[in-house]
Amino acid sequence: MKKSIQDYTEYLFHCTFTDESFDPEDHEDHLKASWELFDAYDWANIYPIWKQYLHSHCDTPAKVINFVNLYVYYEAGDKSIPDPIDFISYLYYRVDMDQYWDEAGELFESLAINILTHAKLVNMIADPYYSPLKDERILNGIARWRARCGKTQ
Amino acid sequence: MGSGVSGKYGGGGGSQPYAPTYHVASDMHARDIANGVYHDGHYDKNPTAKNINDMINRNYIGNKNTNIDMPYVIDTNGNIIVGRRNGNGRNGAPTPHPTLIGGRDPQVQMAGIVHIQGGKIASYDNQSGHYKPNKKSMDAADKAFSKLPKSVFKKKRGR
Repeated sequence: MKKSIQDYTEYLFHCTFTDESFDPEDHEDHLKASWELFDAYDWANIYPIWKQYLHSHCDTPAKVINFVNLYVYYEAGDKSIPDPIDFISYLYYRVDMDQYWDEAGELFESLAINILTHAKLVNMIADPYYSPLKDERILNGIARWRARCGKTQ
Repeated sequence: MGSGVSGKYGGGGGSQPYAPTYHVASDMHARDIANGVYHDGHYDKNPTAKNINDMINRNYIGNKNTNIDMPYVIDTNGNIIVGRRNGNGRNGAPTPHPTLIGGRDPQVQMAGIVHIQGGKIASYDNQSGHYKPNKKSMDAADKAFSKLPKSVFKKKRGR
């Protein structure tokens, strides 16, 4: 029987990217499972379930950072999403960069720029000094999440 | 491409005419001064700049947990120099491509972003607003990256 997107998602994200046992050299089981998923289902159907996983399972900054690491590792950062500003803002809302910059600053910025470039919302050739944390659209998005879900996460 | 891996070519719009080496595009100069990366007649140096060979640790760039997009340049000697986008930290002065070399007139054969996922090179491109390299210069990047061990490149889907 064909595995569901939910089954794949549980397998792909219920793990710790930084564990030594996660996808060791020549045993990249999770990466291969993500390819399998992308072959079996359309990204347009996968993304809402991954986003739902983020919102429902990742309730600490460490879990959100882990989600982002996995999202990048599975090469989802190169895929188009319908709500780029909202998605990126949520990540920054959940992980305070004043506290987690060393751990996640460049990771989040890399993902944000990739997503926004694919969405044609940022052009790094025209604006090589772009920074998501100075982008009013992102800052307003973070403020919206705070208003909706509370100040501190 | 030479390495058989994943170079990504940005749109040609706005790139400089092909040249063996590139200077910083003149339209960036005022912004570089305003951003404090060019002063007293020279570019600062990104303190995290290093030859990518110096980042190779067994079969990884950095380590297995390295997930980062890094600006890179191919210098005039064919070395791949990389550094963090925010080489001076979150609140420090920015560190765009020219600061990977620094000095009065940092010239490069190529510049772009190298995408590292799980400690492996997933792809590299020609996205540099400072050098705007012509897409023909991807050959220089392919040549330089092809000299790296195959083990530091990420496996590709379908291979």
